[in-house]
Amino acid sequence: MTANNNQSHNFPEEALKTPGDTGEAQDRNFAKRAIEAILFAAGAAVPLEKLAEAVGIDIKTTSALCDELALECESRGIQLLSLGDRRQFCTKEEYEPYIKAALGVRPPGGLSQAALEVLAIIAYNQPTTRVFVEQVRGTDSSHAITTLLERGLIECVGKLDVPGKPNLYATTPEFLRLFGLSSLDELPAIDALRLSDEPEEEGGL
Amino acid sequence: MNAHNESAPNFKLEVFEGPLDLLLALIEKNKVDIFDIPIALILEQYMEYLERMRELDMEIAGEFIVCAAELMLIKSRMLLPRSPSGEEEDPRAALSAALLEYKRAKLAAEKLAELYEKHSGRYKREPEVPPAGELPEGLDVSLLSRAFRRILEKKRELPKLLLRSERTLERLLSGRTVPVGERILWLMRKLYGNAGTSFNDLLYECRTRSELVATFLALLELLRAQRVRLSDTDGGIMLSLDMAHRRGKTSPDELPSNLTSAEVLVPTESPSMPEP
Repeated sequence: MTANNNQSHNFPEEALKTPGDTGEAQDRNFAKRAIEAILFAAGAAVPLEKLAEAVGIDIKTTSALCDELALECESRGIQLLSLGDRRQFCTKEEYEPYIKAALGVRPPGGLSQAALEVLAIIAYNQPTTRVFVEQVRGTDSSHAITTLLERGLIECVGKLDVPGKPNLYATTPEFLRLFGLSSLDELPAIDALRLSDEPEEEGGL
Repeated sequence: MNAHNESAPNFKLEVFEGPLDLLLALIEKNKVDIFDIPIALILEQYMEYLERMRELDMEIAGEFIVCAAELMLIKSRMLLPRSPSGEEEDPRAALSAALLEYKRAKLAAEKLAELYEKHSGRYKREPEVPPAGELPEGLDVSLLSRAFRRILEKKRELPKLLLRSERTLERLLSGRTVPVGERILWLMRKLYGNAGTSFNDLLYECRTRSELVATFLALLELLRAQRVRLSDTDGGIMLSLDMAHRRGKTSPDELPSNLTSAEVLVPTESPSMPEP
């Protein structure tokens, strides 16, 4: 794709890796600012691949530049999130009350117990079907699935190749953002067995 | 379950997500092992709970009844003498496994709730320009007309009887032209809460050619206004509401304001149609 993309700025790769020379450092800095601009304009999470393609550099360098941007955000009210292979700008959690006070942002609202259970089952077993979710919960879950789809926390990623072709659901980058995860590997470990042996669930965490 | 206050009607009956949720609560309350459930005791308390629900005129979901029947089956199996070989499976094994799996889901849900509490205050900004959907290459108008003809042909293959009743209806309705606006509403209601609806199924549901054309135009309108998203899967073209444009402002009963001009009347398939 990079080859036919004549509009992109093509930076020499070596220059980006070793910012020794002033001109090369400028190129690198320019690429970083370009990424910053794209992420700001996008609002949503942008795949590293897209960023790399647009700026005309390789994915590894793009990822490194994003890490630098994230560091630069430490002293700011916004943060650069790493959501799987995507990057996204968003505000820092601690400033939520001030944002609400100034803009009267309607809170996204909590999630019902049913919605959280369905989300958990999908998150830990994705991609999976409604039937599987309902089997685990032992009860109808279509309403909760609709809610989660509307909130953009899960999405339909295809169909299972069995009779009836049921929809397969998986979590979205939006899910990672709102639950503070940078990838699905960070989902907390669940040890139901150990806890079930104890009369009370201690500690909570 | 609330054991206190037995005499007065108990209005604070705990609500459970489903039978498994209720069973887990009973197991925790009685502090028994999930792998060694005293079925008779748990079943008794389970039925007590259902009875209370009935007293309060609460609607008891079918799955609660099914689960009660399963518990009774397990209980009766437990009463049967064990075979001397002693190698058969514990009749409670499947129940224990299901309860454990559900408990895992509940614990995971708890942890997710904590994470959500901590991080849901991250705000993103809305993009200035909504990202343009990428169109697949090699699109051509002739594809549309071919697809439309294919639908018409497929409809002809419907069973004779069904077809005849359809024809009767068509004649009855032939005076009526279907407004596109009406089909837009129909389409949005249909897609609301339905993540994947197949394009083909949608058109098969149309009874007359007028309805078919109006539905198709309605779909094009919704695509143009970016209310509906298309995706190409192995099973054909799938439609879903564009969530990014819905956020609270579009309920299924509400016609998007910029679509009201789409009241294009489509002529029905009628031999007396004036030639241009």
